[in-house]
Amino acid sequence: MSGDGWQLDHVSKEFHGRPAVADLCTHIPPGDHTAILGISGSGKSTLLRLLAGLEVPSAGVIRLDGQVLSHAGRVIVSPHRRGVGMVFQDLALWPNLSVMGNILLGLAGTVGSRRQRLERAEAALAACAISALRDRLPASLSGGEQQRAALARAVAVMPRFLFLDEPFGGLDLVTKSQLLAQIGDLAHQRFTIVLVTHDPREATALCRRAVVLEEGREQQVGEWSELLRDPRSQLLRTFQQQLAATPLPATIGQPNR
Amino acid sequence: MTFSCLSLEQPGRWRGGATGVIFLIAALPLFPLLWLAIPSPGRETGDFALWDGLRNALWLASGASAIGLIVGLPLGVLSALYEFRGRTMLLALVALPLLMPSLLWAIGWSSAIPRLGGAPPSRFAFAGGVHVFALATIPLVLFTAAAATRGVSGSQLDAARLAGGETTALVSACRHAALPSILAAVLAGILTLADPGPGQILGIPTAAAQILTSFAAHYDAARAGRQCVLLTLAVLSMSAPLAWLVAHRFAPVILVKQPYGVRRSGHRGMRTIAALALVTVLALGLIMPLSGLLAPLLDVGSEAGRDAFLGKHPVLVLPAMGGAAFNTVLYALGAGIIGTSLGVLLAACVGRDVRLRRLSLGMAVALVCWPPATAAIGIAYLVTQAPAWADVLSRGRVMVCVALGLRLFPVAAVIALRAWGMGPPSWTLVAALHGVPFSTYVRRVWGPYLAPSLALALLLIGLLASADVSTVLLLHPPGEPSMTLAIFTVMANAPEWTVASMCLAYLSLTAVALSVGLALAARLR
Repeated sequence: MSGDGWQLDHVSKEFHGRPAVADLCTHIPPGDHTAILGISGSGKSTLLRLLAGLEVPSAGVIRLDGQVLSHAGRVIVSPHRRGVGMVFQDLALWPNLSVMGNILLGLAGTVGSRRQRLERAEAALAACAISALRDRLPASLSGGEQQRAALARAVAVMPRFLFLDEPFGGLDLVTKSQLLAQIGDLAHQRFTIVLVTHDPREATALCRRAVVLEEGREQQVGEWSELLRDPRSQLLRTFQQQLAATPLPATIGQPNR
Repeated sequence: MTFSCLSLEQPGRWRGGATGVIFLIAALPLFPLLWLAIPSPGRETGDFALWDGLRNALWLASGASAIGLIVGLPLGVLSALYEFRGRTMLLALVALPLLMPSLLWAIGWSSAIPRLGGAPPSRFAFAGGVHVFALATIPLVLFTAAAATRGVSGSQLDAARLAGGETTALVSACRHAALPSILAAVLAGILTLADPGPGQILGIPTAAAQILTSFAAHYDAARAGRQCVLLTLAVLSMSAPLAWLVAHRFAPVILVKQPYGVRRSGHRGMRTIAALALVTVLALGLIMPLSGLLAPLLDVGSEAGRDAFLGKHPVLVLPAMGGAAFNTVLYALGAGIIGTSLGVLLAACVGRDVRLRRLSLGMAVALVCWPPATAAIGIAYLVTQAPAWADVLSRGRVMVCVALGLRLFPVAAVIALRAWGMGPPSWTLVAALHGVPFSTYVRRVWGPYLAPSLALALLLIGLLASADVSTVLLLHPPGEPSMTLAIFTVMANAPEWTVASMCLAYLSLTAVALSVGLALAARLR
């Protein structure tokens, strides 16, 4: 993948005077799947939304490949022009539309004829192995099927970056393992994953790099395996112990293939 | 510049300004009245008749509130906790008096009193007044208690069941719903202060009845205006603390859905008790006014009976009410569209801003308490000042729709705010991320999501507008009354059976409209 990736310079975000992200300077390179880890309330999801352009930074500058996307108090490049697809924590499937309807409406902002959109939607359904579910409403799907539908909608727009905001909550271990493997396969040479999670096993399964946040500040950043080898904070030590105690099943695909 | 889906979710200073403008529009009819009253603010403070009227109204309101609370709270909790056959129908029947003009029930009472004999009519009249107002108070408390109970988490109730069985769960839910129910009872009581119908019909001189007399019988708009200001100030002194309390304590309960809510239980004993309680309250509540309405028609020895027998009975006077029925539908639809549009606009402007949501809820409670006559006289004053070329609009049926829509907009506002708050923000964020055009998103996702709530708001405003007397009486163009006003106008002079037939025709039409509306809302959902 080309370009410099994401660059954050002294980015802060406050809600009602309370900092969610504080003076963050970090770099997310393209091609390296990156996990953003931290406990609840550490600012992970806010950071992801700042990158996506769904939140306006209170201070600092966000760049992608050197181009300024957002700076203090302003979003310059709108979310749909950033080459980002996203799977939200609550999946955000539009409940009155079928799986196919969700994907097609998600493509409404893209250029191309209706036929091209249909072809892309079919391809996304096939890639996520849910072609048989195309006419079903989200409420009639199982948790795992809903995750796949949300994933299909996100990848149908052919994003450069796929943002995953803790999308595996509430899934059993087997389904989670299958989904992680599927995402790993999908991502191969197509897009870079930025995964927000508090589960180190998910980070291990998908990502090579990691940014660890605590109270909105960057604790440590670098190769995930290196961070685990040399944990400099209590949080990373906890992650290390958790991984040693309960690794994910071996069905997971290798990261960054 | 294109309008992005993200604008729906992003905060902004414009939200506060736009919210203020909407409430200013809703309160606009109130300003001319203040203007009218300012030149002589002290003149009517010595209006002892009005203060007496207010005292009478307060007695009636207190009685109705107390009954509403005692009956409505347990019924609301029972209907929220237990599933039983005919639940929807029974609840719709209980809600009916709230959506109908109170004067209909008062006419039933006034017709029943002479047939009772015994106690002096004045005592029956007061009891009738309390009973008629309680008919509207009970459903308001019932639905508030039910909503508060639905706000308890299912696991909380299960814990209570495990601790002490079904009775403990019931008591725990009642305790949880008590304070919102008390507030609803007080609100219902305040609302009765501005209702002139029962006072006028049962011969109890209430403040609202006196205002109507000043305007419609004495043709003294200035006096009526000043009386309105006094009544409004009295109502405001009671509704302002209530609005503040509702906004600060109950905004999260009213405007947000409990994610793990109560699931109605099929407990055999309790569901029987719940169904029996609802049937009993319905029977006790409606037997007196309904028998009063039916008695003149069933009295075969009377003039009505002879007319009916001879075919002179004008098929329950429906043809005579045809024009009024058309106006009623027109006013209801117009008010519904205006009120609902303003309500959804308010919800869009307020968005998810917590402070604005609280403020809006408080304002909605305060505005809905204002006497209908206050706004109507304000508009009537504006109309007299308008240039002649504006008569088509200002003195036409449109103005009635506008006045009713503005007065009842708080109903739609609360429903729309709740629906808006319950829709996940991530739907809109996904649309923004995918560059879905704003209009497409509203048409395909947000609009269909809001549709059932807006249909409900339209239905409620329509029915409440149909039940209105004061606004239509003060603003309707000559010869264009609503059905309620037609009944109000003829009730003193027309034969008893005519009035009773008109009331029963109205009752049947409202029941049909409510059933169709609820079925439609359920289908949309």
